[in-house]
Amino acid sequence: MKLKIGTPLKSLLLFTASSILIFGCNNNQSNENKNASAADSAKASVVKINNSIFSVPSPIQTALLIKKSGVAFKKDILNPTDKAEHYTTSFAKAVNVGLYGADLGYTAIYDQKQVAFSYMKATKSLADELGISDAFNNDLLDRFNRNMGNKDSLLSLISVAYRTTNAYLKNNEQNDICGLIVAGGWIESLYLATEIYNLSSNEDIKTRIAEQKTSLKSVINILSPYNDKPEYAALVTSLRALETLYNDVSFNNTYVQATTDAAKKLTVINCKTEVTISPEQIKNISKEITIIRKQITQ
Amino acid sequence: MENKLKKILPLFIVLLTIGSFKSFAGGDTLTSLCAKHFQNQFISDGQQYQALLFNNSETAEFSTTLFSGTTYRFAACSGLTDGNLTFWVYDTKRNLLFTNKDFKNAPYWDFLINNTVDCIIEAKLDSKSTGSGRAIILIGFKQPE
Repeated sequence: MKLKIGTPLKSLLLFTASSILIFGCNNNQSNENKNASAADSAKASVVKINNSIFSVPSPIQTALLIKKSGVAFKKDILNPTDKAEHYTTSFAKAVNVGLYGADLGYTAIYDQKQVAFSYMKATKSLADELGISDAFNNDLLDRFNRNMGNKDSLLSLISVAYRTTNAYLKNNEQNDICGLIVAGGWIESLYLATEIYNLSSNEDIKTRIAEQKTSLKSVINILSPYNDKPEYAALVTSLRALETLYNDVSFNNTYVQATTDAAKKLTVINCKTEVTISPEQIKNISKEITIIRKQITQ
Repeated sequence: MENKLKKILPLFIVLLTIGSFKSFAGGDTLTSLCAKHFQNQFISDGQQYQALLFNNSETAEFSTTLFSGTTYRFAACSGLTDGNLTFWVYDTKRNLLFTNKDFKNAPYWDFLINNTVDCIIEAKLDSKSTGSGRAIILIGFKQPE
């Protein structure tokens, strides 16, 4: 059969080309969340990565600081793993994948092997139900089991699983779920820090609580685009109440030139930062984060 | 004209299809390549910062908090070879703290943080780049021994 190239074929050619290009570009466009707002176009083509203004530090970093404080492991402050089966909505599952991730990091750092494994299983079950089990698969559970007793390997496995999930969700236009996981981890991390501070009055933990001011803004920014959904709106409202408490936490930053060792590929950042937070502010922040944490775990 | 179109049609469709699949697969491949710069000593912060830059005058930007007493590693990648992404690290008053531009667009760099600092990270495709590209920045950290 001879293929006749005429107007219909030209149309097909154009359609094929357009379809593939639009499909491919749409994927990229959404992945990168290119901000096409008028405000941004005025800023000489600056692309805001992931549509958020700030990134949110890993909950593992605060857990490491908690361990350094010398306070013994406290299982009772964690969110019990048997609650996982009661989380029925995507919202509750996603936010608790993040929350359990922070608990998982805390238990791994304290070398609580069996407890850590139960948190890994709880996280995996929620991830499965959300359809994001690529990273939290059986292979991860096996490797987690095999590396029990090697804290660094466990932390590496956990963080890579979360990064893989983060990338997968962004690449599949599930930024709302992605944001909830990040938010859940951050909320639990701050909750654990305030609980441990209430027990120890450790100065480093107090400072770390104060230093969450910027990250809180990030979490709010990440969730705000989904405010049309009641559960998101309720959480953002609670986080804004927390933000009000942070308003008077003050920072005094002084620029000092950084020093670079090219051979070691290392730059030492020497800027000075002084943070001021009062006992009353800590008390109020602790109270508010407990309320928020209860809101997402009940 | 029709004969020419007839000849190039299959090739055109094949190229577009390959290009389309390549764009889907590119992110994962690039992340894997970028993550190799972490080796075993750095723990990922659990996130991936990515943007599609359409040309070398576009800038990707995000902010983060770097905590005191921590050594961070930034890995910056675009394309399948090192050195295609230039990045700058500023404090919140836009004082320049570092740029890998001074070091041939080094694909990774470490930062020892003496005091907690909020900073702004900007990234651009290398000035010699002629097309668009996906930019990925990964952040890892390690605690002092």
